[in-house]
Amino acid sequence: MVEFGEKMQDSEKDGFDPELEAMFEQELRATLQAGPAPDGFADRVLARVDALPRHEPLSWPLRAIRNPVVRGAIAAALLLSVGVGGYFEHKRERQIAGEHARQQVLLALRITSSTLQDVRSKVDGDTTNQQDAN
Amino acid sequence: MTRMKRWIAACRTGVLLGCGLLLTLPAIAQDVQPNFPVELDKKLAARASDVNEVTMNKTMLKFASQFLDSKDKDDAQAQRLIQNLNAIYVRSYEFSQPGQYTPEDLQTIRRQFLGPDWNPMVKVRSKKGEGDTDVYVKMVGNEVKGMFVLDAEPKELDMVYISGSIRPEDLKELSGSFGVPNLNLQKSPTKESK
Repeated sequence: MVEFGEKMQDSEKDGFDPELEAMFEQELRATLQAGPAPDGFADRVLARVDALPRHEPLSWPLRAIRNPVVRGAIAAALLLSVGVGGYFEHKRERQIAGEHARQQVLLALRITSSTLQDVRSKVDGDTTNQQDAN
Repeated sequence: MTRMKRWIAACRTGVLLGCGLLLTLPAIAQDVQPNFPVELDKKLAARASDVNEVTMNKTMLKFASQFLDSKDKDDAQAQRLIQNLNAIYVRSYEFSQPGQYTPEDLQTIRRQFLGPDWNPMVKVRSKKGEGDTDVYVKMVGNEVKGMFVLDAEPKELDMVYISGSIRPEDLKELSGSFGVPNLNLQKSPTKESK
């Protein structure tokens, strides 16, 4: 390795060196070559995994909400409830407006009726007066 | 060139349509617009101690008729009466003291009904001009298409304008209905009139 380092320093001065390239390749192979795991490595890994804090299992609503079908159903239900709510609110407002309109019509006809009654009484009074004068 | 001609033709059509619409609108509006002078309305309302104003056009009447209960006597009667009407405008003013409106005010109102279609049916005049009554009927052909009632009392002024087809039986039905007792006309108090 020291030799490789020296060669590297030399090549920086001299330029491309085929010997150096071969050496580099050899070094690289040796480094990347898979070797056996150290003794007890697997046990140590498993022990550390056991030592990690365990996650509680998800409750059923959370598990259910992760389901796309359930999500779709919830979205549809929300939309439906908004729609139904809007419809009933519109119906209620229409009912109030209708009742107001009904009251207005009845009031208008009541005043008309009363006014016509006054007119009749006046006309009748006028006629009676004329008859009395005659 | 063809493009120019098309453009001119389109403009001509637009102008013709616009003119047609302008000519037609007043005719349509005439039947729907109230004949109450609005400014006088406000003036009277400001002086009155109690105001009842009802303005219902055809759309509103149609809407209201959907909510009238055909099983109820008054509602059923109202439903029958308004089915051929275009509009009802009612103005009822009650004043705390006499002299809140002038004979000129009444004349301004009457002037609205001097058109050829309007016929004065009832005309009662008091000496002081505070017990006047007018009923104008709008005749189109042989049909009654509108009615205006002006009833002036010293401390009360009522105006009713009904637009639309009114049958004589409707009028008969109207008086003495809707909680208003039918007067025994033979015993009605006589009023001083000219």
